[in-house]
Amino acid sequence: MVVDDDIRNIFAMTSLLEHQKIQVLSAESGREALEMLQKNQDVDIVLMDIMMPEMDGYDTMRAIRRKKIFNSIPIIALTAKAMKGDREKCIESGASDYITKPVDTEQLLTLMRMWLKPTGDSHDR
Amino acid sequence: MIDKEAPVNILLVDDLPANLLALEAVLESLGQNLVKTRSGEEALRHLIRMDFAVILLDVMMPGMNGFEMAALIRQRDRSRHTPIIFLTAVGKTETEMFRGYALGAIDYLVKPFVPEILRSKVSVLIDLYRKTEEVRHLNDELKSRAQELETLNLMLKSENEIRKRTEEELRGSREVLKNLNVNLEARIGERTAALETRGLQLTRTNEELEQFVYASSHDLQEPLRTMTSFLQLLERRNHDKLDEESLRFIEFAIKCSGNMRALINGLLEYSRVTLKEKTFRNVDCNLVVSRILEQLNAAITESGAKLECLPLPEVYGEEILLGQLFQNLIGNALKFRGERSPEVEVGAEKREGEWLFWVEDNGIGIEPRFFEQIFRLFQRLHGREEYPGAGLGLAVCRKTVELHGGKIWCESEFGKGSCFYFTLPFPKPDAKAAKVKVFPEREKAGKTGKG
Repeated sequence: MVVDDDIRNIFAMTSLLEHQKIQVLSAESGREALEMLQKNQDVDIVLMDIMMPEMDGYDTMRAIRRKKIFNSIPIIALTAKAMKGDREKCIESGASDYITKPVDTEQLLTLMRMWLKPTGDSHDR
Repeated sequence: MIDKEAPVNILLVDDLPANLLALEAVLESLGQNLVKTRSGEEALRHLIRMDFAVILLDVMMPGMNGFEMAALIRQRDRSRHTPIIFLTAVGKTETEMFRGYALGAIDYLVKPFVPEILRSKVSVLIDLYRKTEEVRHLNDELKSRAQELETLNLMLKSENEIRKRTEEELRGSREVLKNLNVNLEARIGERTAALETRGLQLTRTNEELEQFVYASSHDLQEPLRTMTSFLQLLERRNHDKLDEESLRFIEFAIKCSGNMRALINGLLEYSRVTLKEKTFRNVDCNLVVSRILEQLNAAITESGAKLECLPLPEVYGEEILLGQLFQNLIGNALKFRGERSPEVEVGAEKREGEWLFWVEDNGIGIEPRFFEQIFRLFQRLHGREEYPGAGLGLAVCRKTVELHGGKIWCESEFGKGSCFYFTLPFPKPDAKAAKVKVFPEREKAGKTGKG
């Protein structure tokens, strides 16, 4: 699932992931993301934009982690800034990993592969 | 599978509601699903979830413009080939038009557009979309068929491999069997050869023995005859000079020499059985037996025997030997009688590959423990006084039957009677029947009896 407030980013990310034979869901806000996740509990991984109006990425991730069933779902945080402390704040808020914008396609795919594989066979397909 | 009449989706993107309305008015009559959006962002939201047959895209829009949007649309696999018609106001430069085409626009319409042209263009694109969908669908089906075929192929291949392996194993086993067989055959061959050699040796030894018996019996008769003659001479000449006891001794000696002659004659007869084996013909047993009965006439009359002779077949054999065979067996049947007057039956029946003969009597019978012994040379079960004989008759019978490739045996209930069975071969179709006159000696003997 891709979470981003900019539909253009969502569209671009969707194009990129679909090309890798990944089925993509998308949400344009933290609230929408929570609702969608609740409805689609078989989501394998979440790509979370940090900078969003209203409920930002940190809040959204904390809200996701509060639910027991989403304790172990991998969340990769996307942030525009590569500032010191961002990584810590992301991990504290519940992100599994972290990547900076603009996203390097190869780096993102490698990261996703890494997070999808160890959890078992059912997730990497 | 695809519903050809189902409406397809058409995306209209323009920031001015009036333009959207105008587009709707033109395209409404095509009966398709028109999705109107007033911004690129809104259009992208639809594009993420839906497929469109055609996109009509205004170039000049606040926020994301038409070109930026077209670029995004072209990036995505799912919408890469969706036709985009750019709509633009009058007076735009050719460079702009080229930029549009470069981004994948398939057409470029200048506002205000001619409704009919727009409508016909869109309807062509709808047709194209439908055909493409159909092709894609067929393609998917083909792909799944191909996959099925591939699976089947794989199954077949593995089955084939199993069969191949089984066949190879079989071939291996067959090879092993063949080797074993060859070995076995070689060993059997060796054994057979050894047995044949041994058989030849035995035959030779047998022949030598028989010749020896024949010669010695012959040679023994001469001194025996001389001995008997002199004993008889002694008795005749000195009958008056000798006392009673001496005369009894001489009589005893003469009697013994008579027994000895009978023994020697029996041996001669026994050894002759082999010497005559080359004269086999088809022989009518009825004729043989009737001749024998003529010879035994005296014994039959004397004993008051009732003799029944059933019809007998033709066999392949030696006539003189067969005569002796019947004579011995019928003679025994008459000889070994008890208190009752003898009843003897001679008969035969066809069996597989041979005739089974029997000579049955109601005489004294034989104890089972002697069933084998009686066929041996010089075997006597009784005292000479009780039943005279040299103990050779059944030995000769066995030799005769065996010479004909048959078997002889006896069944008996002690005290009630015996039955002697023997088998003889079928006549040969190409062998000439024996002439009646092959009994030169017997004939002479027979002529003296009753006709």
